[in-house]
Amino acid sequence: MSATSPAEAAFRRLLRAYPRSWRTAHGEALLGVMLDVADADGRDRPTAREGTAVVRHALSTWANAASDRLDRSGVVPSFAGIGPAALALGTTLAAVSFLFGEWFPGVPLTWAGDFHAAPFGPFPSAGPLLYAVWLLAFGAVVAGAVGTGRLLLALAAVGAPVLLTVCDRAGVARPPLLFLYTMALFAVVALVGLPRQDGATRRRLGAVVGGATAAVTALLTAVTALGLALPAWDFPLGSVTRLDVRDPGTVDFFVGLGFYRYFGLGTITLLATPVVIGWLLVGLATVWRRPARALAAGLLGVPAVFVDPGTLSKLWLPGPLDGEGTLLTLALGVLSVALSLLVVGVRTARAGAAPSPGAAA
Amino acid sequence: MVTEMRDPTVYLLTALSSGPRHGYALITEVADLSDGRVRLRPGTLYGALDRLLSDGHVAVSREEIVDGRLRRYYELTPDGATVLAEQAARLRRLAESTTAALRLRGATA
Repeated sequence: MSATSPAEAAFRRLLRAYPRSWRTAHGEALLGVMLDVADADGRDRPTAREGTAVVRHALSTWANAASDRLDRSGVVPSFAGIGPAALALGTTLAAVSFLFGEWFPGVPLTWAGDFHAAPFGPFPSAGPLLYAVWLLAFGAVVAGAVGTGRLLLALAAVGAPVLLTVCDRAGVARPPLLFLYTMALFAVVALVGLPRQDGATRRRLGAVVGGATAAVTALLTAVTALGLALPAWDFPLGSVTRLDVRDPGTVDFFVGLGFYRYFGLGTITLLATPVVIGWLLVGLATVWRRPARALAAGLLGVPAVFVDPGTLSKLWLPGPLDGEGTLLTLALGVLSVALSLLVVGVRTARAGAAPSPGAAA
Repeated sequence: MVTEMRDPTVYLLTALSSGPRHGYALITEVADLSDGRVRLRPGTLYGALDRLLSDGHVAVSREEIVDGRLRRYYELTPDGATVLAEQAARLRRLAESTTAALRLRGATA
């Protein structure tokens, strides 16, 4: 190459926008084209549009280079493992919540005096609407219609915050905020993690999810029923220590609103959510072999961390949310980072089928 | 089903169908083929070439230095020729169905 002229230096500066590896492989060829075009136009520096086109291409090159180096080996299996588990867990929570929170045999549930909100038809809250979607999704997956199940899970994921908003605006009672967010979280994880496989795998998936859901539902139902039968120990309700279905004063402390708020569900979701978070973190940990790339992908998930249930709750609720919101914020953050990595990883896998530009050129 | 390809990419493959071309020659030939409608900028050209190289439709043929500037020549691969033929067939079908629809409209108007 000859000595660099001022005109050439102006074009060469544009090349700095590219990653070094691309610049080394293609920089001189691109510079030659830019100089040829400039000579033909009688210019000695790049136009604004020429600069914009170069910067746009350079940015896509940076993005491709980052995704090429991403190790997705941990994230994808994490989702594949946690997806069916999230479906089983979400369905279990929906079933148990319906049984103990919305329709307890022989006991009219009212939630009187707590939410100052109207019941939803024959049920004390609008929760059964969401539970019905979950149960339909579960039924579809067990029947082998995974595509329909995924569609219903998408509806469940969107449905939880919609239910929250609509009920609060309309003055209709609804399950607690933390629970609705947890159900939305499980729906997203199940939606992303359920495999799209052939017929045999789908049948196996249906059997595993169906069996796990039935077992966990039976277990939680038995534990909750046992808890109702036994005297409450160290329970901050003064003289109220046991459910007496003939005494309406005790009913809302143990079933209905009491199930959601005090008795069972708070503990269940506080246990289940860390399990989901922990599993995803195991998958994400393997990506940290590429810390810079994982950090870049993680930044994509940062906005979700600011979708803080505590902040959101101020839009809909008069009082502050308790500390459990922090847990859910963490869950949303981890989930969004994992989803970002998954999207980048899948794109990388698709692009990986073809030879890389650097190799060909 | 044939995936729809954008016009500049079809023009690029068409320009390469008659033999290897370097970057600047591709820009001028694409402008000629499109009657000046498609004017590729160097950054856009290399974005398209990156994709075509990655998909295996185009390969680097040779390089030479002219007036101290590197000229890299690209050529159409057999895969690229097949894709270009598919695009030509797709565009022909589109043109035929559009023409037929317009004839029908003329007949019923």
